[in-house]
Amino acid sequence: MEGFDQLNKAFDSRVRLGLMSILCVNSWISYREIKNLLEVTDGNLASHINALEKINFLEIKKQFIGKKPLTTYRVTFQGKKAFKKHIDGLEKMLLR
Amino acid sequence: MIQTETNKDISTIKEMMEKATKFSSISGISIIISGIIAFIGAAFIYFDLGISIENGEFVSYSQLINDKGSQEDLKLKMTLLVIIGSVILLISLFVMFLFSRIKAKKESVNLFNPTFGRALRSLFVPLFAGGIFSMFLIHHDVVGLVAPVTLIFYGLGLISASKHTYSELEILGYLELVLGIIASYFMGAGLFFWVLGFGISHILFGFYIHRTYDR
Repeated sequence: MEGFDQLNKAFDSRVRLGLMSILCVNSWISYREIKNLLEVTDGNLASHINALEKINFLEIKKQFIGKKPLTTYRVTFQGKKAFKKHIDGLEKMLLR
Repeated sequence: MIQTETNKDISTIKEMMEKATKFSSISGISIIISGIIAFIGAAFIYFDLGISIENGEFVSYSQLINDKGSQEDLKLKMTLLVIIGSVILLISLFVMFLFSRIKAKKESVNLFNPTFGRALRSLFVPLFAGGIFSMFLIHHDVVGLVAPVTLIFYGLGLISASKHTYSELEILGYLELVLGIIASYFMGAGLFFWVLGFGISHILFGFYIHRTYDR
């Protein structure tokens, strides 16, 4: 099927699609904000974030604001490129 | 089967991108404060306009608007009105900016993101046009329509800005718009509608935003 070969296994789950969409339209964005947008549980989100970090699609920054720890995320160049290819694939499948 | 799944994927992507690009750093408290400032300003205008400077005679705001005071008095008061109005606007904007910065920092989002610019621009294009229009109204001595016009243009600004921030802003926008149009009919009662539109509505709306988004 045309476009099918362009799909990336890393974006199989809808949570990951949402996660990548959010990252692509923001610079550094906090964990809390992502969680609020996606409306998923901590365990679910954490596992998807880890998986995407492992393949270098997103980067993590940990810092402290006063005494509170703050984790923010950003999409990497590879991540953006792969995501764009995936969306193009989806579009091709729809347009057939 | 695959078609519908793909469609769902695409709509997820669209929804998330849209949601994540909305400006959400306005703080409810700052909207409440701007409402209170508007109240104080209106009180200022009301009480000061109540006393004619020239001969100590009592002349109310609506009497002045309806040509029952001396002309010099009216000019003087209009200048005062414009100054107080501008000061209210500036203080409100400053308070909102300050609170937005704090909120953005707390949620670790960048305040000056593209959504901020878009929301600001869509609010200020109508507001700016309305400001200039009001100046011409004063210039042509149609002072009674200044308060309604500011309400109408502010409402239009809110409606257009609502697409880039909390969608509830649209409701507030229509409210201001309707108040402005009603106020255009009851010329002279502008201050009352001004208090309703800028004072009470902001305070109520601020509470709503604070309760639903800030906690």
